[in-house]
Amino acid sequence: MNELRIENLAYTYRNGTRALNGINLTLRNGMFGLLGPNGAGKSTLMRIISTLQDADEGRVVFNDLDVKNNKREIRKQLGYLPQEFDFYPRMTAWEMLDHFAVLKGITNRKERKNVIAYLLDKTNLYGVRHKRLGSYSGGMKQRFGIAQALLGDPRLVIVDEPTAGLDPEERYRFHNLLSEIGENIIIILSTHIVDDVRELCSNMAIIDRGNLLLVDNPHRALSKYEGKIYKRVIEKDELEDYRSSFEVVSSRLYLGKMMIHIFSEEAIDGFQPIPVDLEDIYFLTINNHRTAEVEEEVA
Amino acid sequence: MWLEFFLFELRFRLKQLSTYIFGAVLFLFGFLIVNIIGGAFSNVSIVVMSGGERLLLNSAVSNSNFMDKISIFLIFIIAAFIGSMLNRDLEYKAHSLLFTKPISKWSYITGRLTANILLITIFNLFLLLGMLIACFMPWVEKDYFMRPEILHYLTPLTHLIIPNTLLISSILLGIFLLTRKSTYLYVSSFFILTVYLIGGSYINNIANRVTASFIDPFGLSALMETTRLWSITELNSNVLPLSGLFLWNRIAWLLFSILLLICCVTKFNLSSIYNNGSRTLRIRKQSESVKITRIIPQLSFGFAARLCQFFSLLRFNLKLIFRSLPVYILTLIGISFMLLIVIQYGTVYNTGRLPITYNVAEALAFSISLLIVVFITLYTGELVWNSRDHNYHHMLDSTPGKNFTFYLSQLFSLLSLLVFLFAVFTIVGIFYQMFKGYNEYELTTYLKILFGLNLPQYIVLTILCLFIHNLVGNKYTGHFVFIAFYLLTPFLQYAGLHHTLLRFNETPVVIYSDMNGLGNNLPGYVWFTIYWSLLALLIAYLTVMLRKRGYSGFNYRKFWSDIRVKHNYLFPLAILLLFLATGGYIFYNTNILNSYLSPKAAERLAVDFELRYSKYADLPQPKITDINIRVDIYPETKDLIYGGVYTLENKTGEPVSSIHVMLPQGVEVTTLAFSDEHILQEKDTTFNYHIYELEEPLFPGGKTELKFELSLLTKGFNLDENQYINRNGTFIHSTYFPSIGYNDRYEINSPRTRRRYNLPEKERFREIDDPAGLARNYVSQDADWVTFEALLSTSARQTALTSGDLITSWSENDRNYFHYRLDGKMINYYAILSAEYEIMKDRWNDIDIEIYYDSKHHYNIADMMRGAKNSLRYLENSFGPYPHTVLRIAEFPRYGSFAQSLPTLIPFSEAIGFIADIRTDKVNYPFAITAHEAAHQWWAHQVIGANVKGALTIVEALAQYSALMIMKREFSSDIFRSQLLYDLTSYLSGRSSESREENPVYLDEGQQYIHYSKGAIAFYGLASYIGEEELNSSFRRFVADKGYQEPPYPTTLELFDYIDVPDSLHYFFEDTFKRITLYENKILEASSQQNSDGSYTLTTRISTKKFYSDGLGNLESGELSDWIEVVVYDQVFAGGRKMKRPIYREYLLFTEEETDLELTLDNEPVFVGIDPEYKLIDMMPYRNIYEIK
Repeated sequence: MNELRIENLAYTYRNGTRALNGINLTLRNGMFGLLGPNGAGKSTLMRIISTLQDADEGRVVFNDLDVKNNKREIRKQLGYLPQEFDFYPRMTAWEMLDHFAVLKGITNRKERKNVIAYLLDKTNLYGVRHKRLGSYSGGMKQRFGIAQALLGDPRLVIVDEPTAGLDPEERYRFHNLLSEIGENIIIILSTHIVDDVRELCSNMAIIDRGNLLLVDNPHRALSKYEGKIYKRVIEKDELEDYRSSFEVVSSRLYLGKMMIHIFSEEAIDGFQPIPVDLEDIYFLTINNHRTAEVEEEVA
Repeated sequence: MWLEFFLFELRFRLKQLSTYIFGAVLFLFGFLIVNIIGGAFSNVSIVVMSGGERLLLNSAVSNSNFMDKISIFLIFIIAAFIGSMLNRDLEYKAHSLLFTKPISKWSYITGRLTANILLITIFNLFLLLGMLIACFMPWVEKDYFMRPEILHYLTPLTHLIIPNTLLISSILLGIFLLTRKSTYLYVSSFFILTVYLIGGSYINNIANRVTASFIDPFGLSALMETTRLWSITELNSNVLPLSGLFLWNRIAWLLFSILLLICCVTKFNLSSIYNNGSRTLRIRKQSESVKITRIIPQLSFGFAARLCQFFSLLRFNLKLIFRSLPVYILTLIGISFMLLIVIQYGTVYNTGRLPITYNVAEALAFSISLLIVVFITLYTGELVWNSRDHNYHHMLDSTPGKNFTFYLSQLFSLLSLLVFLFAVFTIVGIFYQMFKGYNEYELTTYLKILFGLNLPQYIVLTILCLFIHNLVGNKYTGHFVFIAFYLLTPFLQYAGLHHTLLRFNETPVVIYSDMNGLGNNLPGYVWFTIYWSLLALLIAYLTVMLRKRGYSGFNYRKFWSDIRVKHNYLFPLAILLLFLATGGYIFYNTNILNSYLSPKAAERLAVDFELRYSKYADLPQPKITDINIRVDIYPETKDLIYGGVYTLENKTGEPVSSIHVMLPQGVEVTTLAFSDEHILQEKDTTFNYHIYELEEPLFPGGKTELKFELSLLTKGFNLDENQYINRNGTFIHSTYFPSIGYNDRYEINSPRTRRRYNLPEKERFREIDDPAGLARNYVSQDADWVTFEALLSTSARQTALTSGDLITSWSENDRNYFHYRLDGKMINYYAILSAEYEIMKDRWNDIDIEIYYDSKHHYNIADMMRGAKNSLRYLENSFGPYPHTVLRIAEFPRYGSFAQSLPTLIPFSEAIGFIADIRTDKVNYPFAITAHEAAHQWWAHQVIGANVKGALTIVEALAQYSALMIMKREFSSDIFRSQLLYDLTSYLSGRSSESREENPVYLDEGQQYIHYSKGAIAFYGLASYIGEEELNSSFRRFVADKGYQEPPYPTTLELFDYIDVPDSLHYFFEDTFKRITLYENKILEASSQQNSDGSYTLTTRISTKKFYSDGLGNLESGELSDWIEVVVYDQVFAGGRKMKRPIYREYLLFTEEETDLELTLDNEPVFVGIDPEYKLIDMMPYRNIYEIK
């Protein structure tokens, strides 16, 4: 059983932005979803775990190895896919993957060939393995990036927004791939697509503005709010009124009007109860936290 | 709209910090360069261009030169501006917004371009300001400058810099629009820069001069050509001329730039340009699949794994390099440079060299040196920044690959690139040799020169470049820093860092010689290479330690903690210690075993010497009358142990008791004693200056003997070894032997330097009637005519040579002994050679002719032998008998590239003559030089000039005149004419770089362009006007009377007394020898008509002008009443070539500026010429022959 312990992790950018604000978290085998809006600190957290950045305070320990001081050991067990990436366009997929495979320590030629073929097949790129990466579409590159991250059977896989830019079929394929390998290793998946987490993760966290807001099992989190989310279709200009009288979780345009979700312990007239969705929990957590922060500042 | 784009661009630039940095840097550059050249730092006086020391540093021509040379480096800024000007919208993803708007591409491009050109102009204004302000600094030498004239600064800007900026901008714009890649902007910038740098060297090729100055896109050559014949006054006072070739050059290139710009903008398509070429293939067939039984791979990270990773990275990097087009483009460019250079390499009299291997290899090394920095910086940038540029560095950084492995793979990929280049060039070199029909390829010589002498320094440079690129924030800063470093390091020595130990990547220069191999500088080169390699190792270590990985930039705290925690300091410390130890060992060799002097210190020493001893210059001293020497040469250890006896005679009218003996520094004295009782009064070991006091003074006519035992030993190695005593090819002069009295050889000659040290002005030669000058010959102050005897010994396989007949030779103790004695007398100037020689022997009458040559250099010895024989025949017939029974020609290594004549012996450098390519229709200079040197056996070794003005006219002008007459009999008239043209143009360009004052021929002050080039033409002209026989018989009488003349020595005036000139030609003699006279003769037009009787009538209009010049080159018109030769030619075919054949030849009297002439001829005229065979000094020698249409 692998264990990743994040202890009191803090990081402040040079311009003063506090990206991480004392994060404590312990992860074990399985997929872990990291949810949060843009700029929440997800990427910073993931870079620190992937040895690419050093935290100001606190530490990350993987299987009793301190990440900061054992970078090379960690890298031997790590698969990392950054949020934004590309590849040298003049290399073919095979060449590039072969290159990465050697760097990851797969030095036996036969084994390497096997691994590369396997991963390219799993990511549905086998047919285009000898095409230059410059000719790949965004989705293909994304899948190729995942193949790269899975090289060398890592025990810790960190994927930053992996499903962005994938079409539904590709996403489905990707989910399968991850869940196939995710049982015996730790996979950290950052995303702002809530469905990814619901479908895949045994555990999840919500993080905003450098703070960890919620750590839970998605199903447990869902059950906590079961029956407490209601929806209603309203006129657009009524939104402010509703906000002042109800705890509005989210609002979105719906057939020219506006659909709002609210949280309530008990049923309210005119509102229809709906099955709770992870997205609601996500918004609720973040909204609550932000309101609390504002109140704190006012006080 | 235009204005908006213009202002937008300007505002954008003005917001960038770099704009201000560039401005400041250029200001500093201008300020510094004028300070350096103006003598602020030390005595470096860089003679910048023609005009020599008299050209003021803030004249328009000097300013043009400085500004042009500095501002050419702005090409990189122009490239960056153009790149960013068009890329910016793309980068900020604004292009799709921008280009959908209805904007005019004309305003878009020209608006932005104008703003950028304006900025570049402003940078240049800063440069100009820096140069201007530097003139006023209190520490610069005032007499290098005049009161600054603003037009002298502005005309270079408007005539050269701004049009050139426009030209470069249009070219780069075109290239960018064509390739759409900024890499190519940089590649072409380098290319243009290199063309600029080597273009200048082609201007020396006379035939190409006019064409070359027209082709030169940057106008400097055209400017030089236009001002080439300007006097120094004109060069200093005029602003840049808008006339002549220069004007046409400027107009042509300005038009070209504008046309190119219009082309570019017309072709430019706003919206299409940024679909930047990369096409996404719509790949449909993705679904191919395989059944794979999965193996769980074994991960390994040990040494074997790292090796495997290294090779994988290496493969990957090599693909990066060799899959990019610029490698091949640049290599091809390099090869074309190389071919251009190798053809030009080492030409003498326009005649090329044989493609012998070291020649080709050096041309290769030179052309590589122009390119290699481009390769290194471009591909180091590519390798270091590839993962960042293509955004996969995070993934790469999070793999367990070690920094060291990454670094090593980058280094080795770059090394492979270097080796690839060197190999390709070697192959091209061999093909070139093959193509030239030369098939003695020496692969080891290629290896030695290219891989041994050139590759190591580029490896060090690569390591430095990797360091810079790993340290800086982005690729372009890396390029800029590296190139700036590379270009600025040579200037360190002007800022006081002279010692090679302090100048990064500098080593002693090894010159490869076929005779002597790698020579005496090899140990120094090897040690310095080790020294810099150790530093490079340290730099490499730092690079690995500081290498950026992930998001944390390099972090010194982490660096130190790594060193402390991981105990990583042992390796760098060991390297550092080794580096310092090597430096110490080098220092021990160069500064302790040998003496090191910075140029400034050497200058001070010369000043000290002059101040201390010049008071003895006029001290009466005895003269040497007999020389008997013994020299033991030890080529293996490069040692010389030698000694001898001088007989001294007091030829003055008073008793002499104090005798001064001088020896060159470095010579160790074992014995130095007179046969008479004496005491050593003063012994100055710094200058090796000894003053002896005889107990009994030497009375007039009295004799004494000076015995000496000396040694010259090689100790360790030095920065710049003497290349006189060699393993094979020792060549030392009599300067290593004691000289009597004060010798002014060490005095500083440059008037500027003398003024700086408050030394009195020094005349170059004494006046023609100066008694002290007449009392000695110009070669030696301590002897007149001496007898000479020498016993030489050398190692077993070598032959030792000096002047005189070989009396005996024998071998003993594995050494060869040679005993020479000269029959008759000679001046006190001789040399000793020793090498492994092949010998060619022949005779002319009763004179033995022997050529001693290296076994590899057998190509031209037959021509040299024929040259020697023909010369002896002509010289004996014309000037009287050769006084000796032997004449030897002996090859010496190429550390000097000259030939000289000593009594019975002509040392001839391996660099010239022996390896000339005489298979062409150019001047056969092995023949020509042999003739010149043979003539010196009369002119110098029988008649020598007094040490007054005109001395060298007697020696050199007459020798070259004799050589011309010998060549005239040997060569076709066309080749002979090209030799005359060569001498004539040497004179013309020589006089424009005169550093003080031009003299008439008879008062030459050691000015080569006068006594050699003009003198030869003058006597040749005289021979043509009064008859060769007549002239030679005067010379014959002169030799008979003045040969072996004891003091007073003859002068040019005495020579002239022997020459009978008819009254009608008296003006010619005066004009040619006693004044500076220049003609401008040309055919304006000519036509011919066939008459009814079959004869032809030629009508032609001829322009003739005569000018007199003063010593500074100011011209005034002369009254014309001159006999000038008119020649009409037809054309015949001989030996497969067209040749001109004279059908009419007459001296006609010209009195008008323009003359119409009508001639009736039997044959059809094809050419008509006015003084076509250069019997007069013609300023415009190219228009003397006219082809009749």
